[in-house]
Formats: sequence, structure tokens, C-alpha cells
Amino acid sequence: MSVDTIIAVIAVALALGFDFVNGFHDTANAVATVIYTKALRPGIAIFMSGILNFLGALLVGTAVAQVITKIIPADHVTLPIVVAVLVSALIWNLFTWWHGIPVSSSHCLIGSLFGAGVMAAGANGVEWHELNKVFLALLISPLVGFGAGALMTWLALLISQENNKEEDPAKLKSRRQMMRWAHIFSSASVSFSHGGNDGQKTMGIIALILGTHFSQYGYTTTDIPLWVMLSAATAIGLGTVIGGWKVIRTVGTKISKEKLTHSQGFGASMATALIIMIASHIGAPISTTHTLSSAVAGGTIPSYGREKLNPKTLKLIVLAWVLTFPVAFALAAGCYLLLKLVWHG
Amino acid sequence: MKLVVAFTSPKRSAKVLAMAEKQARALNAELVLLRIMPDPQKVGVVAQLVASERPNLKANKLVDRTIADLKSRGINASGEIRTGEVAKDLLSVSRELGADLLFLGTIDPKKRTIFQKLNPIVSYLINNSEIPLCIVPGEVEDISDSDVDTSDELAAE
Repeated sequence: MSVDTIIAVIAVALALGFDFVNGFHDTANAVATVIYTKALRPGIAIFMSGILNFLGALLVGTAVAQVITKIIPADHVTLPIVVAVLVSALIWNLFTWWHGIPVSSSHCLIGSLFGAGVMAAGANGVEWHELNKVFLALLISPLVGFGAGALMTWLALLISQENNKEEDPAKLKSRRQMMRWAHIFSSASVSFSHGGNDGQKTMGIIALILGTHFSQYGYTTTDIPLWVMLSAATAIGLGTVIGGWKVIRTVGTKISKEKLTHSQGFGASMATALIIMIASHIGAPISTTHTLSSAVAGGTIPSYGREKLNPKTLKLIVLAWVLTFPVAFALAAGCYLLLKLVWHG
Repeated sequence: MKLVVAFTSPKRSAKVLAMAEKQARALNAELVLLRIMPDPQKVGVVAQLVASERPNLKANKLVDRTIADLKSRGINASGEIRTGEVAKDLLSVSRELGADLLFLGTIDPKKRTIFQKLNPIVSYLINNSEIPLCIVPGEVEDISDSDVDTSDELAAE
């Protein structure tokens, strides 16, 4: 077995590792609203999220994966590029997770593909048309999330009357119960759509490895074999459950309820799930973390007014958004250079 | 001698409190109610966006009320509320307080669902604590319906 083959196999394992870290990284955000409203106990919420991430990755389709495989033109894709992309995306993902920076795995991956592609082949190293489409989707999804979160929360509050102090208590209780179930459903949809969108990014990367190094076995950079879908779905599902274990150790099993209504939780989660499902359908890799956090922030306005928006956290989200592209670009470009020097020079 | 109790609320921690009170009385020990509030910054960005002072206010109220009850029954009791990571900081604060024994509640084995069988907090403490542990089964389960009343009670204050 050649060194390249060994590295290609390691790269597939790294891609699955990236998928695992993605699930691990995003669990807390995906289930935060149901845990903090006590719609579900943390253990149940996390188990549900793990299963739905697995199913989402398996059932949603491969449109996003196809787009990932097209960011670097097929004739320029090499094994060192893919390894550089994976190593840099993993480094930045783990670094930001460790420091609690709300960074998106999607941004990491796209920025890394951009950096390694440009370093390898200059301006010809990326499909600018595809990259522009992806960049646009990443840019507008949090903005649409903010607006849709506000709108869905306003509608949910209108139906549930959760904030109406003059409502009959018996009616209010039954509406809260109804909204609680709607909230659980919407949170389940976020997990399903997260698996569907984020799981596919890894599938795309594995397809690149298989198409560039194992083409003699019939693999291409555009076809996603079933075993790749199954292993990516398993990695993201396991990452979610194991990340959730850490979440429970942090928040406890008996968390106190935050002043977050089921209507706001439902509005933000439903808006996020719909946006991600549409994005997955049209092949746009977007960030669940940024879409959901923007939708939660948007839902704060109809719930408690603009003055209750948390400016410190919003600034952190914007900073993470802005920082990730250049950092992932530079990391991937540096990794690629290093790999060229020591391995494919 | 100092006995630390991992405390949630008088209702949920009733059994572990009763056990700790009995031991404190028998040993003439000091009882410290320890409540670790999860730090939203350690959970994630959504948790940071939805976090409020509400759980801290509620925890303060519940700890104060329980200490007053214990004192009225002649127990030397005090309380400690910290923010951090629940499992990790239950242990680190217990060390800092010089605990001789850490009491914690867990759900009755017969009533445990598959999700509760592997309690991450209890597992963490069993695997990492050098402080002797007293694990008391029979903790009262919280249900969402009762939270509605709690929220309204707190909102009205």
C-alpha cells in the first residue's frame, strides 16, 4: 500500500472526525431552546437530536454534497488539498469550541476549501460561480433567520397568547401545552435538517477523496456512495449524542427554566428548520448555529422588545462570522504549503 | 465536620436533604447547600442569548428558604451558589469548601428510564471524586406542568 493510499484512508477518517466534531459542537445549540424552556429533559432532547441528525444525513439527499465537490474544479483537486482542508477545518473548529466562540463548521469548511484551492492553483483553484453562491447563502441565511424568527415567534405568540396576562389561566395552560409540543416538533426538525445539511458537507469531502485517489474502483468526485452516507450519518449522530453528554454534565439534569416561552422556542426553531431544509434542497451549505442564533435573537423582539436583545452575544456571532473565513483560508493555505513541502513537493 | 449537599430545590432534593440533615445532627456537623448554576457561556451561543437572571433569583430564594428551615430545626446550615459547569464545579467547590462528605440525589432505580440510567453528573462524580459520596436514590422528578406554576409565582414577585 502506497503512502498516498494510507493518507487517503486517514483523510476519510479525518472527514468522519470532522463530522463527529460538527455534531459534538452543535448539539448544545440545537437543543438549547427545548432544554431551557423545559419542553424536554436534557437526556431525551439529546438522544432525539442524535437520532434525527443521523436520519437527516441519511434521508435529505446529496444536493449540498454535490456543491461541496464543485468548489474546487475537478481537475485541480488533489489529495494534499483535501487533507489541508480537513486539518485546518478541524483545528479551527476545535479551537473555537474550546474557547466558546460561536463559529460555524460550514464557514470553516468553505473557507478552507477556498484557501487550499487558491494556494494550489491560484485564481483557477476555485469555481468562483459556486463559491459566490455558497458565500451568498452563508451571508443571507442569518439575516433571513433573524427576520423569519421574529415573524414565526410573533405568529406563535398570537396563537398561544403566552404573553397575555389577562388570558384565562385554564386556556393559557392548554395553549402552552399545545405550543410545547409544537416546540418539540420544531426542535426535532432543527436536528433533522442539521443532519441533512451538515452531514452532506462531509459526504462531499469524502467524495473528493474517493474521486481523486480511488477512481480505479469506480468512484467519482460527484457520486456519493451509500456507505459514505451511512458513515457520515453515523458520525454526526454519534457526535451529537456524545457532545450532548458533555452538555448534561455542564447544565445538569434538572435545569432551572429560563424566561423563554415555548412560542419563542418554536418560532426560532421552526424558522431555522425551514431555512435549512430549503437550503439543503437547493444545495446551499449554510450554518445551523448562525441561523438558529439569529432566529432566537429575532424572536426576542416580538417576545420582549428590541431592548432585550443581547448585544454582547450578537457582536460575538458577527465577529465569529467575519473571522472564520480569513482564518480558515489562511490555515488551509498554510497547511497545503506545508504538505507540499514535506509530502508532495 | 462539613457535609455538602448538591442541592436543586427543597422539593426535588427532599430525600437527600433528609439524609444529610440526619447525618449532620448525628455528627454535629455543618451542612452546606451547594447549588451550581450552569454558565450559559460554557453551553453555547443560543444558551447565552436566552439566559436571564431568573434561575439565579429562584436559586437564591430556594436556598435561603431551605437554610432557614434547617436552622429552625437546630442545624448549622449555610448555602453556596456558584455559576459554572455543574458536574465539574460540584466537585471543585466541594473541595474548596473542605467537604468531608458530598451528598447527592439520584432518581429511584425502579423509576429510571433508559435516558436516566447513565446519569452524567453521578457518573462524573463517582469517577472523579476523592471526597466520599453519599448517593441518595428517590429524588423527585420534575414535570413540566409544575414549572408553569413556578414561573408564574416568580413572575408575580
